[in-house]
Amino acid sequence: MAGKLYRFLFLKGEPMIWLAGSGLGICLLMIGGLIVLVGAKGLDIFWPRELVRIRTVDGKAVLGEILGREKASGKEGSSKDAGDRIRAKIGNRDLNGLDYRWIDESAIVSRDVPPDALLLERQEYGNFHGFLKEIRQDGKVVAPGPAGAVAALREIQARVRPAFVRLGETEKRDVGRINSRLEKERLELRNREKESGPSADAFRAESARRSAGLKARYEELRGRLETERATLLAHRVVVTDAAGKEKEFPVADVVRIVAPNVLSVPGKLGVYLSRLWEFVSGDPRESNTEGGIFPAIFGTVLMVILMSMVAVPFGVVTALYLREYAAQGKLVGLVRIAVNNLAGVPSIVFGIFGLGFFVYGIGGRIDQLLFSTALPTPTFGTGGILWCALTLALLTVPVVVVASEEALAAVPRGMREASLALGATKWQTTWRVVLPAAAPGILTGLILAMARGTGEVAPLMIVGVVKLAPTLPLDGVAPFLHLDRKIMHLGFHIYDVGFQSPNVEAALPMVYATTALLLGVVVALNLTAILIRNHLRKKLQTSTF
Amino acid sequence: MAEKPKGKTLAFDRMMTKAITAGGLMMIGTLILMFVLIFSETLPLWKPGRADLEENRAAAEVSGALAAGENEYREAGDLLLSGGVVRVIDLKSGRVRQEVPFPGAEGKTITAAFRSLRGDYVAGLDDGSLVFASSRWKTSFDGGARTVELAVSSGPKIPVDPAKRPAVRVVGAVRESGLAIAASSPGPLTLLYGWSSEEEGTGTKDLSSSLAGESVTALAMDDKGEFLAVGTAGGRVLLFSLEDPKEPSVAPAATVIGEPIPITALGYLLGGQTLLAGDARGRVAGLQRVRQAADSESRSLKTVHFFTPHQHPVTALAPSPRGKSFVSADAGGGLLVQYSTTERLIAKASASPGVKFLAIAPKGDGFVALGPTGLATFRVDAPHPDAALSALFGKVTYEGYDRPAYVWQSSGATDDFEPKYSVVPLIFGTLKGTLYALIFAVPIAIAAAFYTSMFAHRSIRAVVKPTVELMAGLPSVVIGFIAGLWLSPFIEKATTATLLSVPMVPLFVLAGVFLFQLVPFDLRKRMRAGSEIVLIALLSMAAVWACSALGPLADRFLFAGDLKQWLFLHAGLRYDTRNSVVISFAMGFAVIPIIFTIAEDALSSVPEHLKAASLALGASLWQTAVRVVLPTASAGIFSAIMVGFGRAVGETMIVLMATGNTPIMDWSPFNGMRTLAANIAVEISEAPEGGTLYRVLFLGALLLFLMTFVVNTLAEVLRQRFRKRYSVI
Repeated sequence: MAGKLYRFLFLKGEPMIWLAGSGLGICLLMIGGLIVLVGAKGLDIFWPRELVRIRTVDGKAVLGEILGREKASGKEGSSKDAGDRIRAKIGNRDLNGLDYRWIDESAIVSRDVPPDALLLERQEYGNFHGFLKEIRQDGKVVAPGPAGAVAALREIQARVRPAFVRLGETEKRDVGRINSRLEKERLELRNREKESGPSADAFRAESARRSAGLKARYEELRGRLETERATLLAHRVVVTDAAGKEKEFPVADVVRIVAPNVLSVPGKLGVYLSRLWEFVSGDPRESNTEGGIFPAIFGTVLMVILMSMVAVPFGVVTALYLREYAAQGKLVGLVRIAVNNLAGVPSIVFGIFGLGFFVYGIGGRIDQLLFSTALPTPTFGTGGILWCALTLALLTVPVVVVASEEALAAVPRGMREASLALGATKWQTTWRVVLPAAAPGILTGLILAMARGTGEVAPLMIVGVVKLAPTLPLDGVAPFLHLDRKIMHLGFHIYDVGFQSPNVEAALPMVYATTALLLGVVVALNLTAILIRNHLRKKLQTSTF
Repeated sequence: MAEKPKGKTLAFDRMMTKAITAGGLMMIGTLILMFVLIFSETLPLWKPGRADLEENRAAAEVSGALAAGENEYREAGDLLLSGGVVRVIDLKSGRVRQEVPFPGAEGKTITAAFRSLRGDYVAGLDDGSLVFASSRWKTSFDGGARTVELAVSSGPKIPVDPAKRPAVRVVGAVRESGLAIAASSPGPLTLLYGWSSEEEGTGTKDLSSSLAGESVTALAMDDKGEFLAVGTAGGRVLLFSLEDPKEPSVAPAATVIGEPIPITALGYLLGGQTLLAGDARGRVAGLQRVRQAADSESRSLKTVHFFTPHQHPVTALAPSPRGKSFVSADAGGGLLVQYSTTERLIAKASASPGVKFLAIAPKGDGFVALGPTGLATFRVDAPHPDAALSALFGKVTYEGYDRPAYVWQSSGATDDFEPKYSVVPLIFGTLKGTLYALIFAVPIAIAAAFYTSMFAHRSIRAVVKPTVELMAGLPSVVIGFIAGLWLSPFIEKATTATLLSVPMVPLFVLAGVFLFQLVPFDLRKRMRAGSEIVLIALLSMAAVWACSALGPLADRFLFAGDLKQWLFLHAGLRYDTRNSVVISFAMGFAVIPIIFTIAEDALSSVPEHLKAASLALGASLWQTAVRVVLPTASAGIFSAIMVGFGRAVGETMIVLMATGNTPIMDWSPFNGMRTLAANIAVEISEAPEGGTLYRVLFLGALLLFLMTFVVNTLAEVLRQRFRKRYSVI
């Protein structure tokens, strides 16, 4: 018996093997759990839920989405069961102060699902949960509620809201244009401050005239926009909350109207998709805690593209050196150590290097040479998309090197020898034969580098990623691509909104959605790279025989 | 026959060869550049400061001056002359700019004077009374031109000495309401004190009886007028508390050095927490009020800093109105500029002997020295006096602390805040985070790699490797977010269950193996080899589920309802929501895939013939795996752990988001830490370029760089050797 146990334990080692296997099991559970958790939490938030009216013993009533329930923990280890409590999103931040509330189930008198409950998503103060009373225009009631007013509200909102948004965009664009020209005048004037003589005087007079003209145009534009805005804001909606308290706000502030309690499943799906679309294509509202994350997506994508344009050539050249050109020896060992170290140096160290070298070093010098008139306001001497891209490029070069090396190694020797035997030079062979054959593998490297670049945050928050960038780095004002502008970034958005927001609870759904998006993008990129590589490996295995 | 390439083509080929070689070597260049840049940004920290004589005015304008100072642009100096006049001179040309009579000193001679950090004057008159006057620089700009004027306003006059002896030493400070003033006269054992307050008028008191037979050799008062320090000929410092300004109370006297050497100069640093004392042997020390015992409220003076000594008796001492530096002069004319916190000697300079008054400029960038031969102005260039190796890596008794400690606290709310740049808590935090990460990650990663390479079925391996690669690609900000905002509240609610699952998962799996033996052999045989992983995963989940059920039970019966409270009561451990247990698990996501990949590589590249030989000799697969494969691949596995260490050391976002980032030094698994990497992320936005904090953060980055460089290089060398050894067999 003992011998059998000994055999079982130490010779066959079955239990040990299983224990080792549990390491792998935990590993797989961890990653599966994370992806499922983020996916479920992130995709769930756009789904419209029923608005439940809850009346409590103290005579108060709230209208909210019920998000969960838990056992209320008894105080100080008391064994008395305090009963369950539910967590509800009650909205109406302007009336309640808080969006979320815990309600003890024992305090609930009744709950019902009123069919006429409305959920109005607003530009400010978050969602409004309540009932429509009437719609006013210039103080007069144009659509008395509640029955007919919802249709009227939808009709007016569909007209007013887009016009209001367009107005804002026009203002930003045109006023921005005038301001940038005024700034140019100012700088030019400052540039020629030291000069004197008739030509300088003439210039000054001319410049003052131009500035005055611009200012006049600015005033005129603002006046026109103000009147237009006033007409749009004259449409006002009057609503009451569950307790009967009245609230009035402009229809133009209403982003979306949902009547969740009477929505069919396809209707809910419509709201879901509309919210999802707003999330990926809209601008953020309420200091990033609502609305969309388009600027962050845009900034991330543009930065990753710029990064790839630097990282890929460098990575490929290094791989070519290691695989094709260098004589194997000490030097190659050193280059490998360097590449491995670049891969192993903490990303925050890249960030601080980027700050010292790119931002203050190179950027500071560029400012002195080219933008000295704007000093002490830095142009390139502060964080910006270019420095983000370059810093990340350094960080991702090793990824490209490793993948490209593998790709180059997979190119059969025969192809090279054939090319060389036909009289091609080494470079011709590399350029026309080896690189095209290795291209899919290099593409893998590119994709992996993009995945790494998309997810990296720590160095970026030092070299130019910000919470809220007023302008996109690419726009219609010359020179179109503004390499000096600060950008928003998906990863930083998660950190900032999730950890620096004053109202983290209200911001959480947004962060989960962003996290799901980021994770989705990174996982998709990684999977693509892995698939391409596996496909290549298979091809390679068959081609050797 | 192929055509011979043309010359141009060949030249291009040669050029490309050079370009590609250069490109490859640029990797080394980049690494060196990174090191050099980060290193060079830290270099100015060690640069010694300089103090250079600018002007030495022996002219008549300065004769009879008892106290002096200068304005923030260091262009105009104010002098209090014994004739009862405040004179403003141009420090560049020596020209007299302005002359104001000292209010309250009309027709009298001033015998002793004091000038506070803010520029207020206390003058001792020859009739035994003390006069206070505040002086302020008024700067006005008129189209780019700057005009500076000194405004002197009168203050109370307090006749402290009924015997009308002229004072030799005076000191004073403005209190919240009113002021406090003290003087000592040439007669033996005199110490006189006066106060004035807006509500209660003025009063005086003779404190001579507290001197215990020793004569007064130095006086100092902090800038809030809370303490009066008195140095005696017997080498002691008496400290009077002015909490009740009318009734100063004396604390037990402290000896500065322990020998009866007369104290010749005293001065309070900005903030009034550190008292500087110089003695007749040239020694300079810093004293603070520290608690004698941890539980007692009473504090007494204790010498906590010993600065670089002078060669001759100290004659004058002046603190800086900015920061914690000070300047001292000796009888031989030697001048030392030092920084209190770091005990760093910033600069040495010399003036003509007999300096009796010193004052540091408002911006701390220079000082004036008043001696018998005139007024000398010095420029001080000390970029980083607040950094020194001893303070960065050693213990320092900071102001308000009772004993030397490692503290990181880079900024405070007030101007007189003492920056505390000890990187030791950060290194500690880094190592703690890394250790907790590795405790969790290493066993799992290596077990998983071992299993995958030796026992798992091919089809499982084909799934596992890409999955783990995917894990390596997970953005750390996602992991950090989930760890910080979802996992840590979750673990806080289910602490016991979480801790239980550590032994429970392996126990369940082991129990599973034994139960599995009960399954008839035929049935077991029919299972595909290596598919036990599915069973294992199910068992692990069952274990976790069992723990979630057992946790509350254990809480109720073992820990009196709540583990956190039990820990606090019985082990003194405080529970923070974002703690090392969370870090341990969250960092697993970052570290496991790295260790797994490299270890699996090493295990898989053990030559097939070694395994075959072992199996052919009759060893079981397990025996082969443990006795042949594992030892062969040990170098590779070690290298995997090192690379994992490197990754854990530098991980930023997870630590930043899943710990409280408090720089404490405590190994407890239930509280957080601040790592070097997270510290950079937290503080860099507050650090102006070129400042001490900025450079200390670069020093942190340098430490990180070096740590990872050593570890990664070692790992790579090991791996290269491993590869070479087994590629030849």
